[in-house]
Amino acid sequence: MAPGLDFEGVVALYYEPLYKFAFSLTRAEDDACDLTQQTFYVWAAKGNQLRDQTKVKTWLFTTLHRQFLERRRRQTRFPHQELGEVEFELPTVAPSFASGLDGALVLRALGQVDEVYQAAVSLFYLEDYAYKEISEILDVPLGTVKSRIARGIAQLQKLLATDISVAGDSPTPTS
Amino acid sequence: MNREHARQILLLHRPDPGGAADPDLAEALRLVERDEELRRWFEAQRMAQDAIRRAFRKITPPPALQEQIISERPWHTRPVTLRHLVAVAAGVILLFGIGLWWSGQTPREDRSFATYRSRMVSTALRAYGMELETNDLASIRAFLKQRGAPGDFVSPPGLAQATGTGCLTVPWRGGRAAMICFQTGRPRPPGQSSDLWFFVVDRAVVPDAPETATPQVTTVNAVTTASWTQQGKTYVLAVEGDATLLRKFL
Repeated sequence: MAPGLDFEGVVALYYEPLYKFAFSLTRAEDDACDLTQQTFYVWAAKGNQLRDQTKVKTWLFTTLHRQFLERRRRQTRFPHQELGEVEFELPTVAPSFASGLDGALVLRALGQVDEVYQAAVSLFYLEDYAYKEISEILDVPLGTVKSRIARGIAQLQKLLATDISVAGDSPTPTS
Repeated sequence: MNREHARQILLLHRPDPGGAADPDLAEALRLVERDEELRRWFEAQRMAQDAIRRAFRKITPPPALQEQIISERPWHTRPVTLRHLVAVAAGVILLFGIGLWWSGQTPREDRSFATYRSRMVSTALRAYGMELETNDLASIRAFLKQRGAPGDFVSPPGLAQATGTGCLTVPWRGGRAAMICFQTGRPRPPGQSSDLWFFVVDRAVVPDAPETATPQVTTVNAVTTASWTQQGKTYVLAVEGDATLLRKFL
């Protein structure tokens, strides 16, 4: 563990944002708890290799994401689509869109977004990480991160608009 | 920059410190001011993004998660603290104390001379098997030495009046005592070859044995005994008879 950072202190500082990220990825409380817990145990075992203490948070998020991907790989191989092949339609949302949203609806819609975009979108909304930091966490180039976020947001808003519309609200997506 | 390009840039715009310095963003924002349709789009986008962001941030961990992470931490990743060392030391002391107490409760091996003497007399009164039958004292010495019992004993002068019949060894507290058998010459019950016994053991295994070479006479189980210590060995001469008879052989 990095000098000066005790395990309990690191848990107190970061368990909440890590759980939020984990939950946004898994959308299941048990899985999110497991991922968060596992991340801290990896930290306890390997955190001493981290020299720069300012990178603790990024390190934890990166580790959690890797743990998540590892679990996903064991469960199923999700198809990876090249970004250029995916239709990218910039969304237009009605002004009343925001009033129809709740947490469960947003996370359910996120689950329908292409998996390759989900982590980037979560970090974009959850943590206000700079794109450079998100690219470090996800270990992908900066341009790829921006593309994933843009496409992820577009898909998410489209899905939300549809969900809200189905639920009887007025907003409809236009492009 | 056209409207579509501006939308792509503005979609990723967040109120974060890093974004404002981006020249493309600055240009897109300027276009927003000039383009009414783009302005409406951007306004709706910002509201939508804020709403989604709020929804994300409503995620809260279970109340017990923090405690669970800490308490279920694998033991091998836990640092050794002074508190742990104190706990381990306290455990060791406690175990040591229990061990000490337990050893005090467990009957200890009785190494007293009285027990030794009583055990030798009991052996003499039982039907024992002679390991060597001979009246040759030199053979008896050699045999006892070979068996790990004291063979270099000093016989009392009076014992020369008795007739040797043989010897055996008697286990005693990890060692062996020598038991040399004699006949006094008096009539004996049928089947009993000896009525006088001479026991020799290293003084070290009977710590409270008599310290002097002066025989101390005691009766044990109707057998009269004389006990003394000489040159690192403790002797017991036992006879089925009274002290007067015994003294004849000292």
